[in-house]
Amino acid sequence: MDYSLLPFRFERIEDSEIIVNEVGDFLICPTGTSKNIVERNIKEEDSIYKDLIANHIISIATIPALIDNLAARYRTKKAFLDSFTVLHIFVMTIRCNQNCIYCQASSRTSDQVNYDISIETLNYAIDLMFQSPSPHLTMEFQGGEPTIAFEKLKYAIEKTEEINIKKNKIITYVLCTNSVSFSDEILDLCLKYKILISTSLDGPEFIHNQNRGKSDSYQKVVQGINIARDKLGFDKISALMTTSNYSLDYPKEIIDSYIENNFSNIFIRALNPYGLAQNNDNWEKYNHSFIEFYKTALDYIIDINKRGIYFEESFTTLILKKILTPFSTGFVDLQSPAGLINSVIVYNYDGCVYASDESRMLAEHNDFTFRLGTVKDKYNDIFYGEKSLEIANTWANEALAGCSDCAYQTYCGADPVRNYTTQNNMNGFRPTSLFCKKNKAIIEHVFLLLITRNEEVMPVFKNWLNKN
Amino acid sequence: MIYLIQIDEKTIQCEIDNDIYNDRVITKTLYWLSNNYTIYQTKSGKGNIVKFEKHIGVFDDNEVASLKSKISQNLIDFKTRDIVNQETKSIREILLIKAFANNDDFEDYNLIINNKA
Amino acid sequence: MYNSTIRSFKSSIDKEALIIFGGNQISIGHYFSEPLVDSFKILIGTDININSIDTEFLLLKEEDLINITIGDILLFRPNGTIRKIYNSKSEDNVLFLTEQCNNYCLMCSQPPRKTDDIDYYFSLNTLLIKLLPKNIAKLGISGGEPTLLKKKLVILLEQIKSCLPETAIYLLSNGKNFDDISYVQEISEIGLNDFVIGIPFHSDFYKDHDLITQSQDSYNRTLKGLYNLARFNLNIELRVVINKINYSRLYQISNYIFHNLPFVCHVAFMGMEYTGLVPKNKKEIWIDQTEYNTQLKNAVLNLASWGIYVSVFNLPLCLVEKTLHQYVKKSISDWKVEYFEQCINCVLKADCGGDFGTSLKHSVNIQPC
Repeated sequence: MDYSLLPFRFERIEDSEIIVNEVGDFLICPTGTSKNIVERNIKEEDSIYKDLIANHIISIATIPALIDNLAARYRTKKAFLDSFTVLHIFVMTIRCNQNCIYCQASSRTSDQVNYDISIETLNYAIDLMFQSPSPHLTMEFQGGEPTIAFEKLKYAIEKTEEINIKKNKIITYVLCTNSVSFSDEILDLCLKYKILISTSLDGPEFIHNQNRGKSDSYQKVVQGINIARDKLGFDKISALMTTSNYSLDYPKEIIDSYIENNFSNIFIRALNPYGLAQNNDNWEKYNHSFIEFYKTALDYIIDINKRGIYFEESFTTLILKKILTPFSTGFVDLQSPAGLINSVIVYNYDGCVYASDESRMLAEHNDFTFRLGTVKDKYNDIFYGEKSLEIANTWANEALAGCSDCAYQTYCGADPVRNYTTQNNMNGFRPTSLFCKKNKAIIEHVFLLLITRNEEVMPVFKNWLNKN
Repeated sequence: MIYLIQIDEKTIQCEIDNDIYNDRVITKTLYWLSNNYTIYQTKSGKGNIVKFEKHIGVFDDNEVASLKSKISQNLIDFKTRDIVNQETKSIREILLIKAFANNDDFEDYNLIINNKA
Repeated sequence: MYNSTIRSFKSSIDKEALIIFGGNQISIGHYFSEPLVDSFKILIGTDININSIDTEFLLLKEEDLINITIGDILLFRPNGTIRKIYNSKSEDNVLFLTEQCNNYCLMCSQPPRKTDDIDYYFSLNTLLIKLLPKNIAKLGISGGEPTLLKKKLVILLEQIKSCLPETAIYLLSNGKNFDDISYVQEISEIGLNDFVIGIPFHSDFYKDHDLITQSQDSYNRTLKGLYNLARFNLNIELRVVINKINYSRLYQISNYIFHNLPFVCHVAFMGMEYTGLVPKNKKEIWIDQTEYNTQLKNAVLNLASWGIYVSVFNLPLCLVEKTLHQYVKKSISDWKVEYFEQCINCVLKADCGGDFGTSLKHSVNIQPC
């Protein structure tokens, strides 16, 4: 009996072939299976026939009987779209009390107050935030160093709480801080409003201080983290690391320092090609080294878990959630449609509204391509205005050259801002895209682990997934 | 089978039969090679004549063999993908509309007829 | 002893009636066709002087009387037969709605019959629901296929909500009629407090599922039904009866469930009962319980590792791998359970659910643990 095809993508992997259906279910098959499927060489008696039918890769009817179920599953995968913009970033100031070598915020020194957000801007921005249809809002404070503008911070939160009495949304506050100057009043504010603290820890002392350009940074940060943990609770503090060129040689040392500092997870992040980091000479070389760094770190982390210590690599967990589960993930940096506008928006200290965090970095270099307007503009003009519609043409990897046929499409995402910054074009050019190279390498590596070391890694991976 | 002819030390040429590989398939195959080479295409009686010119340096035997293998493999793979895309175009549309439509009153039948799946 | 029929050798009643057994005292009877208020007193015993009483009566043999407990509800039919339809000592009471079914599963333990019995059971159950004790903890609803009652099932559920608001209700259905979303909505809107729908799922591959149900398109209809139930947030228990046709795909089935049906609240892998249609179909369907140990283990541990609540039903502990013992439940209805001679020496007997007393043959592998 002849069968119809359902949408699927495939890629060669190791000496096999991976076939992925439209909702992210995958099969590992012998090389050439896709060709056999398409040429109608698969027979009902073949053992793979049942798997292909059950996994929505082929169908006995042109329109499968269970199309509505499949549509529901597709909707589930894209459920992050339902709430629209959840993450609202408030850049409180671009003043800072540090001067990290890879700083993206290109900050000013602590005493120039005109680089702080104004009350008027806060009022307008908070009003825009509440117009989001999402029942959950995350209000994230960034900078520079947001704690320097403490009074504005306090005002923003109290104003939000006041308006929320009527609006009744569930609001999460996040404070992105370098943790070096926690005053009592800051910690009191965090305690009162259950603010989550997101701080930067690049690794052991010698790496962290080298990256920050200051010889006492590590000590201060660790001290700050511990003070905050004491006062606010362990689970309220999370740390992010950035992998500088210097960091690349020390994956194990960095993991060890996180464990020593009592963190149970790490998010292995690459440098972004923005801000002061843009002066990196050889991005191709860095990208390649970063991929090796990630693989080494992940191996080391898996070993740690096998020895009975729970320690999670968060980016891997996100990829695993997309690969192994039918659920949606809310990670704004790797989704399609892209996170900008759909999931995140940035209100800058100067009253301008940007589509994403990286977009405002561009603005610091006088490129306003992704500036959507000002906080005084109407909500519809910002979120559904011409700029937004223009960006929309390139924010779905389903419709991008090179991505539309990629087997890893459902696990990956689109980033028009990154494409524009690195390749001068929101569409991007996949063959030279380092964003593509990096993500593809990591996704493929995760699949290789699942294929070749399944019994070893699955219990560890499921452990991470079940905690999230 | 793709036959590569060396035109000069920095240029390789091949002819791709349009009866076997349509323009879409050829374009996608060449897309993934266009960062390493400057590519020129002209039409012949049978299909496309494609020239690959190295940006810097010259072709050696290894690179020619590697290029031939990549082109052949990708043509086959993209042709398979093209068939899948053509045959599933309507289903994909129906799926997306059903996933995001807010009501159940959707006629699959009409869309299939209109798209001649 | 299970659901046997008693025959009275003398009775004064000539119509269908439900009788709440009161022991040596007067019992209360209700005729089907009349409203609840018109109950009648009835004396049930072995040795009644029928000339000196002014109530209705039922004369039974002594050995029959032993099998009835105070609180039991008996169904009396004009031909003199008495059946216990509510067992006050059992936790596993079930409302029986019809013998008809729209599937014809190869391993069906309650083979369907094409009788026009819906109205009869509807009036029986309407009355029974009113008579059941209010504090009954759980109540099953089964058949045949309960959804064949269509609107009448909705009415019965509404009556249950009204008469037994605290009772946990368990409805068994093949799920096919839930492909009608308006029907699912009607049932959801009743607003039952503690309500689970048990739906058999035989295979991830449609042809195997349809082969087992002997009904074309049953796979598609059941899956549509499951999604409709999920849309209304109704609690679903999937039941996978392990048999010769599906046992080799148990792991794939578990993956299918996780990816396509992650909303179910419980998955139960079940051993077969060697009764009903099984003996007739044994060549296609029967498999000894020990032959699928590995497949069962992989499937159960797979679902459990994803945080889905899994159980193993209807299998004695000796026939199941030790790693799965924590998932095995004592699931066989108390009136059907059987243990064997060799079980006396078994250390796990107290935790074991035994085998089906109704099974006509038992595995040779049943040995003490």
